[in-house]
Amino acid sequence: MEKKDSTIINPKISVIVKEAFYFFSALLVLGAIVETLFPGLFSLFVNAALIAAGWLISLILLLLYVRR
Amino acid sequence: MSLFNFYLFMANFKQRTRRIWLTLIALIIVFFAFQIISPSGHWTCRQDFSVRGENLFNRTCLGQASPGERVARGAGGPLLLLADPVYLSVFAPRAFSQAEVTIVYRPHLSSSTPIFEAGFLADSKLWRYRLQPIYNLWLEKGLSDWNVIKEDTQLLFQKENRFTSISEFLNEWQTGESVCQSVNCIGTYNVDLQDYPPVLNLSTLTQADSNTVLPYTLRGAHQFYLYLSGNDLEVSGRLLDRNNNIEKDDAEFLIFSGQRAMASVKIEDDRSETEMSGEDSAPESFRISRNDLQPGLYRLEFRANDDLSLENLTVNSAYLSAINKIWPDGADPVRLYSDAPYLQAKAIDPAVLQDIRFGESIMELSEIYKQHEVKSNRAGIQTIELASGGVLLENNGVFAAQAEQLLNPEYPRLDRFAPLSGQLDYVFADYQPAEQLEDGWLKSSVIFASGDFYREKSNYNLILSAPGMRLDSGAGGLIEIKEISVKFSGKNLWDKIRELMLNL
Repeated sequence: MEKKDSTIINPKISVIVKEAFYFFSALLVLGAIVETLFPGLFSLFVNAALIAAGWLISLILLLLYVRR
Repeated sequence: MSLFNFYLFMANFKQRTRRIWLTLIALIIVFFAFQIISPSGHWTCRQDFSVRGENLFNRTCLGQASPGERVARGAGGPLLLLADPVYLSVFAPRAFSQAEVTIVYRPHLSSSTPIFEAGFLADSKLWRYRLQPIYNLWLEKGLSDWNVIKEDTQLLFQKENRFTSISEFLNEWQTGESVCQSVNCIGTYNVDLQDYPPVLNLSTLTQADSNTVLPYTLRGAHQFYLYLSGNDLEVSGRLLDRNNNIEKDDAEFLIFSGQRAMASVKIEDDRSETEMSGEDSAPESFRISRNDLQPGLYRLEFRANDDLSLENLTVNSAYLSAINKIWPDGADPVRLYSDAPYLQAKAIDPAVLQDIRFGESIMELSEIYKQHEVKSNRAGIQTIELASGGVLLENNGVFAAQAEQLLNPEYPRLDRFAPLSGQLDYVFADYQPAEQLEDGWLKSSVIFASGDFYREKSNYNLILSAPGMRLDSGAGGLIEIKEISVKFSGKNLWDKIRELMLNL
């Protein structure tokens, strides 16, 4: 039986997905630091739920389609 | 493409991609640093209620108006103020020295609710707000048949055309010339009267040395007017601590002559009982003596939270009047006198609900935490009788245990109970009339010195107040708010750097 290869064929997209995950992770950390030091400032300009959704989607894509 | 070239290409692409998002993160950090520092010294928080405040990308700098039952959103979006007061938090990344509040609104007010004011929380311990007028129905419309003189933000309304300029009126008033035909004929609004003659002729006050003992225990912060005929001040009494709240119950006495603080005495909470134990402390005696004061009018301020009570307050003055508020405690009947024609009362303990006699009127105190009010049909000094203490009484006048102890140096204020029917001949106000916009909207701006305002978690506490406007009263009234803008200003980055360098 053939095992389906679930990696993304296009390596560019693989890089983009990984870097997107790192970017959203960095954004969440930055948001946590800013909110801790200046409560309300980060969420005044950025919807944290959108950032978290972006992070989660990039994580799912990373886990499902990108093989180290 | 050979394998080597492919890997080289991918490494370059990875580096480029990483550089892009790292640059983006760096720009975001710079953006937030810019917001925090506010190098220009300005920060503006603005909300237009005719559109939805929060969108998909961010929330607003103006918090939700509360309590929720006092506000509603009207058709087309404006915020509706249905009852008084309403609080909003205002985000500011740092402290600023000045705040300009601009409100676009449509007032639907009446003679029972003629005033709309806005302000900030200045003292979190005593929960004291500093308010400025946004709209005063009397000044905008109620005195339309009076002669009015406007100079800058100063307004002078006069029943008869006696003065041709405000400076002429002020000169005559300040030099003590008789402006009034009758007593208290000058009403004021939002005016600092420090430079003007007191409404009282102090030479008519009792000059003999005398001691006054307040026969009731008072709960929480209070302020008093007293008159000293000599150079000595003697204040004594006892403090009682309920130990209900969690914090230490320090007390402070301050003595003011006009706006000038003459003395201050702090009594720290060294009492042995544990906070939050509910155990009443043993009475702690205190005595304050000063012999370097001039004869005259003074204001004694007792700063404390509601856990502390003041018992047996004794001063060496023939006059001792509680200013605007008195909260007698204890189970014994209370009899007081006031010079104001109305009374507001509130109880927080169901055991003290009762009928209160005010002049010839009876007010039924039927619910706790609800502001009840009654107006007297009779002018002059009013008698207040309570079956027991525990009720917080408030008005815009003063209270005393005996009628002859009443002392009020304040001019009649143009508030919701202003004596417009006959007593006033002049109204002097510092007030900027509202700017008329289209569709009946009005726009008003007020400026606060906000350097000492209370901030909690980067938020100032803004209050919108329309005294008398209640959900359950027949007074009705509401205010439509289209937009609130708060523009903060303070030291810019260059001023800050210069200050740091000077301090080094």
